[in-house]
This record gives sequence, C-alpha cells and structure tokens, in this order.
Amino acid sequence: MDTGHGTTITKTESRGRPHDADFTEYVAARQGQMLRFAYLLTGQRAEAEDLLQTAFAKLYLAWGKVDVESSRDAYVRTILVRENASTWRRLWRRREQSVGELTDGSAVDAGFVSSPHESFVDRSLMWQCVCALPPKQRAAVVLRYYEDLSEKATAEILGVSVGTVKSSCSAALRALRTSITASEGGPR
Amino acid sequence: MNATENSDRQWEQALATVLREQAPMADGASSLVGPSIHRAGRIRRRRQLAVTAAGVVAVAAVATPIAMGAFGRNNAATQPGTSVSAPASGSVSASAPGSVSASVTGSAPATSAASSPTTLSIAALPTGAAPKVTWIEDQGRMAGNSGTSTIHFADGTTVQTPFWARRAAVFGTGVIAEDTPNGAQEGPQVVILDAKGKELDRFYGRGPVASADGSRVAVWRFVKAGDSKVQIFDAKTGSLTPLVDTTWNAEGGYGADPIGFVDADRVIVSPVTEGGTPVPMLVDMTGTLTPVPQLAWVAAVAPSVHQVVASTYNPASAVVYSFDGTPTMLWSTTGQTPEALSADGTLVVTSDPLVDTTGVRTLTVTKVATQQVVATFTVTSFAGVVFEDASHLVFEANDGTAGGLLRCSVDGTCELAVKGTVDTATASSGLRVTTTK
Repeated sequence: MDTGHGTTITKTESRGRPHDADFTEYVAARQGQMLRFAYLLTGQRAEAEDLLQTAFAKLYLAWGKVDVESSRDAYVRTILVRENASTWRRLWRRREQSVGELTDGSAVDAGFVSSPHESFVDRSLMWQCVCALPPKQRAAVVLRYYEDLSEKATAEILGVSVGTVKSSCSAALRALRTSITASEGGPR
Repeated sequence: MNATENSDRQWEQALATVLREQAPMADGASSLVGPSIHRAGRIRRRRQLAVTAAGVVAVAAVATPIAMGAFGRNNAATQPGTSVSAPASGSVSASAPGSVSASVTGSAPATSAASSPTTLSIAALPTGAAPKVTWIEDQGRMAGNSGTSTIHFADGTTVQTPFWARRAAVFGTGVIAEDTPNGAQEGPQVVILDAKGKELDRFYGRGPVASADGSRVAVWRFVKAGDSKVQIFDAKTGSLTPLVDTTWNAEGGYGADPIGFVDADRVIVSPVTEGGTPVPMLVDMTGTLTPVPQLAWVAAVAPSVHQVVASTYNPASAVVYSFDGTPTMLWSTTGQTPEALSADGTLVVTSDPLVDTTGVRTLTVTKVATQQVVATFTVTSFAGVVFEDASHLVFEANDGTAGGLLRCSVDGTCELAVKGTVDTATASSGLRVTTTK
C-alpha cells in the first residue's frame, strides 16, 4: 500500500508487526515538534516528556491501525490532549507538585525575556496566564494558535464540536485578557 | 475591521507569539523511542488488569463458596445464603484495545501435542459451556461513555451494576466492584453496593481482590493528593470499616493495584507506574508493608500454595515465586511475559513478549516442576488468562471479526465459552468485545 508519504507499507506491516524501525523513524522525525506541543499543554518539561512517552507508547500499540503519518500526528496529538486532561493524571500531578516538584519556570526566569516594546502585553505574564487555563481551553488555544489547525481539525482532536472549539477559544482569550488587564492595568 | 475585532486580533497574535516563543523550551530531550516501547509493554499489562475499557472480562480463577444476598441476581436457583463464587485471585482479564489485533489464521480447533501449537480460528470454534470463573459483560460500551455491566459469578448467578464494572467480589449481602467512569479519562473508582443495589460508598481506587475463602477483600484507596491507602475489609460482614487501613508509601506512579492474597493474611500489591522500577509490596493484617524487590510485576496468585507468577527486572524474565516461608524462586524463563498460574501452582502460562499490537501471539503452558511445555496456543488479541480448573484456561480473545471468552484445555483443544461481538468501528482504541448471548 502506498501511503502517499513516500513509504510503502505491505499488508503484513500495516496489520502485523509495526516494524520497530518504522516506529523509530517516526519518533525521530516527530519527537521534537510533539514535545513542544506537549510542553505547551503542560508547562513542565518533565511532565511533557512523560506525557509524550505515553502518547508514543499508545501509538506503538496502535501502529497497525494508524497507517499514514498525518494520521499518526493526529493520533499522538489526540492522546496528548486527552491524557493531559485526564482527571487521574491531574490528581497525581498535584501530588507530585505537593512534594516539591516545581512548575518549570525556566522560561519565565531565564529563557523568556519579556520585551514590552515588541508586544502590547507582557508576554511572560501571558504565558503564566496560559498555564492557568483549564486543560481543555488550553489545548484548544494551543491547537488553534500554535499548531495553526482549523477549527474542524481542533474539534476532532478534542472530541468536541466546532462550536465548542469556538467557545473554548473565546473563553480562553477572555480569561487571558481579564487576568492580564487586572494585573497590568491593560495592554501596553 | 472594527475596533473590537482589531483588538481581538491583537490578542490572538500576542497569544500565538507567546506560544511560539515558549515552545522551544522543550527542545533537547533525548530519544523517547526506547522508553516509549518499554512503556507500551507496561500499558499493555495494565490493560490486561482491566484498568481500561473491557468488553468481556473473566474475573476469577478460584471458586470459593461464600454467602451472598439476592441483590440483582437473576438465577432463580440461587437464594440468599447460597454458595457463590467470589473473585479471589485478582487474575483479571480484559480486552486490551489496540494491543493485539491481527487476523487469526489456521485451522479449526483440534487436539495438538505440545510441540504442535494450536492455532485458533475463533469463528470455527465449537461452543462450550459458560465459564466456571467470574466474568463480566458490558452493555453499551460501543455506544458512548457510560453503560452497565453484568457480573456473571462462577455458579451462574448474575449481578447488574449501573456502571461498567472491572472487577468484583461479593461483599456482605452486596457487591464491591471497580468502576471506570468516562473511560480512561477518569480514574478508576471502587464502589460498594448493598443487596438492593444502593450505593453505600464510592472512592477513587483500584480493586477489589478477595482472599481464597472470600472472607476478605483488599482495595487501594486514593484519599487526596499525596495520600493513599491499602485497605482490607471483612467481606463476610460487609462492614465499611476496614480491618486494615495502612498508608501506601511507595514512590511515584499512579498509585497501586492489589493483585491477590498470597495467603489468608497477606495481599500483594503492585505499584502502578509507567516508568521506573516499582517494587511490589506485601501487606499483612497488621498493616505492615514489606517490599518484594525480587519481583517487578505480579501477574497472578495461587493462594492455596502461596505462589505468584511475576516478572523480574534483571534479568528480564518470568518467574514463579513461593511465599511459603522464605521467598523462593521455583521456576523462571527468559523472554516471556507471565500470564497465569494454576491454583495448585503446578502449571504456569506465559506469552511471548510484546513486540507489537497486531501480531499473532503465543500462549505457552508449562509445568513448573519439570519445565515441560504441555500446550501452546497461537492467538491474536487476547487478554486476562485465568485457570478455570486444573487443566483448562479461560481468556478473552478476538481476531477482528469474531471474539469472546475461550476455554482451552492443556490437551490442546479449545472452544468458545461465550460469544462476543467485535467492535470494528473504534478508531483509536482498537477492538472491543461485548457478549451477545
């Protein structure tokens, strides 16, 4: 079967053994981008790696059913979003944080230098506010404004309607605006 | 564009800029290939322990008479106080969506020698009697995120639960069961129902597993962030006050999973984690936790002989361990995943290790004492192997078109004990089986 992505997958490969080489190739090619996505969902690098390991593991388990690379990307994003939103994971994340694992503030502290002259809002403050969004709202804005996915594609990953995507993004932007305005006295 | 729209656009652009600037903070990680494949194995094993969605679930290998009330049971022959079978071993099976799924090939069921694996074609299997182990069928699983379950106890009595039950045990005149609301997004919960089906208690946790005589059940209970417990209850009285209420202090992961009682007074509990090297714990009736560093993951327990079949870390192998006195290794093999142990500890079932989710796999039955392979079965998707008696296994299997609970004898013959329906429409989580009988 020609996947349209330059590789030919035989029936045996698509329904049978996933070929670790293919999986390795996929992970090598997509880990970087997916890890960025996971980081934007979690705000913690360690948590992002843990989340992505789970998503890749589930992709590995479903390898024969997810044939083409674009579908694999969507599959991994879906797992990342839904796993990150799981109640269970959030409960345990609170536990981990309660015993001393700090939220990764490196971006704010070192790597991310707010430059008021380049933006009409304090971007470090905005990132903090993004991190405070509920998981599903946060996923919606990351998919729409970072991954640049359509509302339809975003809805499919989130498992909601297009209308819900619109309302989630609107609510997220409203929350960001309210928080930043309250903290800063409005946009610069 | 009016001022409001212009302002909205500015906020959207600012947000996009922030996200683009933040994203590179994740760069520089080492390859996740190896850890991901390793984690896939853990996920598969955890699914087999019924944490995830299951269609048909064989629950118990050990039949033990205990008293139970009439709640919800629809077998007219069984009255309150009648002997029924309680889940005891913790050897719980479940379909593992997406874990294995390729087509079964080969012949109709046939007797085969140990050297000649029985290759199963599920649709061609003869129909057999219902399993004499406790098993669970779900209703409505393919339709959405909620449904009900029917627990079929080993004596043929049934109990309806208003949720998808994963594991269950008789508790007083009612039932204690594990529920996973909203599929994998919600954590598992333990629910206690009285004889009329009224919910007496519900909490985040895993379990139950019952002792061999059905007199005790153990659960893991999540209390709050950073605080969880292993609790052992009196299943005869159904008292909500635990006999043992001890803090679970193992590190990391997603809590714990009680596996089974190795004797009347000790339950073995495995940490639930997808990474690291978690160590199982023995919890006794004083609440003392004793690490079992010899083992990595306990798959099944044979309480009458105080033995477990488990995996180990180094070297990676499947082992049978005795906890009758000083822990002693009775048997080991490399390159195999532990699945089940007969009640008398004489036969062990292993599978070839996870190499993928869709390949045909082999179950091997071996005599512990002599290392002799007595039977091998080539199957596709399987989950939760338990011994029905000294010479028969029951497990859930499907080949993408046909599925159900299979009964296989150590002489190599198999039959379909409960016919299921395979959900071929599930996009991401693979195949599921629900019974149609």
